[in-house]
Parts: sequence; C-alpha cells; structure tokens
Amino acid sequence: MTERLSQLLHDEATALDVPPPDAHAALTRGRGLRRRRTAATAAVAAAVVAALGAGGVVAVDNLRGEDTVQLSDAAAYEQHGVWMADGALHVGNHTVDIDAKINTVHYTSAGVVVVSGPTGDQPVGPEDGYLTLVRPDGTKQALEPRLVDVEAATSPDSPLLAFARPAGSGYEAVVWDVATDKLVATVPFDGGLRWAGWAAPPVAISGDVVYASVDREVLAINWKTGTVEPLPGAPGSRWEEVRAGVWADEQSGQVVVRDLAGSELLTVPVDSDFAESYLSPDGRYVVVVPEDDFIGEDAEPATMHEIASGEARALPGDTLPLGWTPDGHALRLVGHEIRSCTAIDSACTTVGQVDDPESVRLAEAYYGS
Amino acid sequence: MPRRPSDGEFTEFAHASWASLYRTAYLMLGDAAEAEDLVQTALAKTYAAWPKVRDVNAAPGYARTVLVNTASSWFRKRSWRNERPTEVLPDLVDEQDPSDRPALMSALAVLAPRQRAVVVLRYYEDLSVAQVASALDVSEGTVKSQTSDALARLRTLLGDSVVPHTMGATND
Repeated sequence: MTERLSQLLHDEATALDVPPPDAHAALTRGRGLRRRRTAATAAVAAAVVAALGAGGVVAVDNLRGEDTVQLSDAAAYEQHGVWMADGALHVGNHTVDIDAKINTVHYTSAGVVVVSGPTGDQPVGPEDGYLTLVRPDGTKQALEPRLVDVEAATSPDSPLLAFARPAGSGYEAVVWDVATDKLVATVPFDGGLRWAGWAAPPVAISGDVVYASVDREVLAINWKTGTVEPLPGAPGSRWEEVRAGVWADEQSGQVVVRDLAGSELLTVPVDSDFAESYLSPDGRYVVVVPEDDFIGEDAEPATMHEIASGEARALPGDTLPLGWTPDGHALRLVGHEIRSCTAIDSACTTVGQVDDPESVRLAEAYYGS
Repeated sequence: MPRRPSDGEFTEFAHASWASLYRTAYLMLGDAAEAEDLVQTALAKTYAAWPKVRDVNAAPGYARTVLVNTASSWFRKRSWRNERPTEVLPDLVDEQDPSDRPALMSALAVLAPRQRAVVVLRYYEDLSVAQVASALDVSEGTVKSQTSDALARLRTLLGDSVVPHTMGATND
C-alpha cells in the first residue's frame, strides 16, 4: 500500500537537478577531521609522555612514524605548506630550486605564487617583483605580471592573484589567473595613499572582491561587476587582510574579527594598548600578537583563536614572522625547525629542518618590501 | 593486513555515490544548499574514517549511515527546530494534483524534520522500522508513532490515493 507514496518520492528524486560532485572539498574537509583526531591523539600522547618520563619517548617516536606516511602532493601542499630555506623552496612533498631571492610566498588553488627578485646575486630592489607559480607536484612556471613596488594577495581556494597599480590619476585593481597566466579583470578606483609607501594600495582578495586599503577606508572592488564601495567599519590607513569573508579590526585593547557586513564574530581582549592580528588564509583562525610580544621581553604570549568557536590556545615563543599552511595551520620557525601548529590543542608538528634560520621565508608571512 | 584504500579510490567513490546521497539528503531536508552541505559533511566524515574502510564496496553503506546520523544530529539543534517545519500550510489536496511534484515537496515541508526523515527512510530508502530506529538513534516505537503522525498529515494534504488509510506505521 505504500507504492504510490514511494513512487512519488522516487519521481521527485529522479527529477532533481543534482549539483556536480565536489570530491576535492570532501577530501579537504575530511583531512581536517582526520588531522584534528590525530592532533588530539598526539596531545594525549604528549601528556602521557610527560607523566611517564623517558619511557614515553617510544610513544612519541611511534607517533612521528605515523606522521611520516606519504601524503599525496595535494594533501602535502595543504597540510605541510610551503617555505623557503637554505636556497630551496619546500612545497609539500617536493623541494624546488628557485634561483632568486624570495620576498613573499602566496597560496592559490593552482599552487604557490613566489614573489622574487632577480636571479643571481643581484640585490633585490622594490621594483623587482617576478612571479613564479610552483604547483603541488613541484613543477614551476614563470608568470607574466611583475609587481612593481606593490603588494599582491591571493586566496588558497582560488587561482586568482590580485594587486593594484597606478592607472591615470588613480589606480586599478588587477585580477590575474595564475593557472592560465591570463588577465581576468581590471577595475579602476580612486583613493588617497598617503599612509603607505607603495606605488599603489596593498590589497586582499576574497571571492569576487578585491579589497584595497586607502587613506580613509578600505574599498571593496567587485571585479565581476566593477562596483566599488567601502568595506563597512574598516577605517583605512592600514593594510587590511580580508580572508574568506572575514577581517580583523585592531583596536586599542582588543582585536575584533568581523564579517563583511561589519558584524562582530569574535573579540579578543589584549593586555596591551595595541596588538597585531594575522588571519589564516582560510579565514578560520586568527593569531593575536600583543605589541609587547614583538618589541620586548616578558611579553604576553601570542594566542591562536578558532573564530567560529572562540577556542584559543597560546603560541609560546617567538611568534613573528608567522606563516600559514593553506588549510589554516600556523607555520612557525622555532630554532632550526619549521613547525605546523593548530589552534584546537596547540599541537605542533615538525614539518622541516633548516640549517640557516636566517634564510627562512614562510608562506603568507610578511617580511617587508 | 588489508590494503588501505587510496585517495584516488575515495575520489572515485565520492563521484559515484554523490547523486544518490544528494537525492536522499534533499528529500530529507528540502533545501538544495543544505542537502549539498549534508552530503559534503557525510563524505568528509567518511574520508576521515577511510583508513578503517577495509572494503571499498562497504563505503556506500557507511556513507549513507553517516549522512543520516549527521542529519539526525542537525535535527537536534534548537535553531533547526525553530526554523522548521513551516507553519504555512500548502494548498489543500482538492486544489492540487497529488502526482504533482511540488505538491509532494510542499507536503513534506509541513512535517517536522524527524517525521520527514522517517518518511524518506521508510518509503524512499525502503528501510524497516528497526533500521530507521537505528539510523536515527530513536526507539522503534518512536519511529512508528512518527510514521503514523507523518502519514496522517500527508493524507490530509495529498489525499487517500497517495496515502491510503490502510498505510500504517506497523508494517515493516
């Protein structure tokens, strides 16, 4: 007697417009779940080690052994991230020679974009912004644009790179597809730039919008529609990171993470007049570094916060420069080790060893230019 | 020692099972975006447990169980309860053709989330009362009473031709 209802349900199901599968997204989320479980296991193991003393070392070694399971190129790129050290660029499973002085490294869905100076031993000047795409499989390709005294931005879930450059009496936002090495769009905009010393405002990109930080505001420039409007609540005169739809409003005594409408998502009080904040590329985490932490001793430690839950953990030790993996782990240089750390339980995994710490450039860290 | 399925096998599995999982998810939730999110979540959880999947052929069943469990956990959230079901009843049965698909979806939208899930699992997935109870982590008695209530409401909206009075909750 259930045939008619069953038939209608099947008819409805059959007629559905099923969206295309996104196995990659499921893989990415699944890796995050798996990693959180592994990290939790590692944290418990670390506690056991502390309780047992030297006898626990075997357990740690075993855990490290599990971590050495070979990941796919895409997984290694997302989980281990990218850094430059000792003359080589480490991209997930691969080590790539880049015959240049690397300034900054940015994640995209097509691979990492390396901004470098000229090849050889020539000094790097502000006018030298050569771009190279290094894919997760270790292959590389020189890109056409050059960043002449400007700062670029990317997003790990998109192949687009954005930057601004002078155009006429104002500027234009440029959006470039690094996967195809083709120009996607240019959008003109105006705004003062007395606050910064670049040739054009520094930018961020999130979805279809490029955010340009000018004197009095942050401009949200939709490169698809060409519309330009202020980012609500953003004061300008500061390089505003906008990551996956969130940005951090640094105020006296607190850092407020907001969405694109200006609504408050998370407030982090800080016991100093000023703090710097660093959003993860996927917009899930923020690291708050009290001013004292980067100018003196006896400082309050930096803290890493999961924006959605508000969970926070300390990041003891020197915090800056701070890099990231594409999936939101903080990349840090601790002594001669490159470590990847989570916000959930402060679990850190050593993902690389370096001979010369001075040579290190972590992806998504800013080293000045 | 069994071979650990690869990422490639997972990707292949995800593509193969996507449409089927999406259809079930959509019928249970009635919203395309939420259905897609549910399937993504279920596949992500399946991937997280992928090393435990010793036989790739068992993966579809595992993923479907995860999907239903995840939906069930969503139903427990207060916000989900508050947002559903709609208080606006669809047009009465004599104004609609019960074979009309929008009529079915409108009628399902009136049901409480768990009632809707029970109907979908029983009459689309063809699960028994015991299987539905296990999937939703409720008692068999709850499944029967939810089924009975759901069918009574659907009968009002879709008519006896679709939901005859003889359809009860005890048949499994």
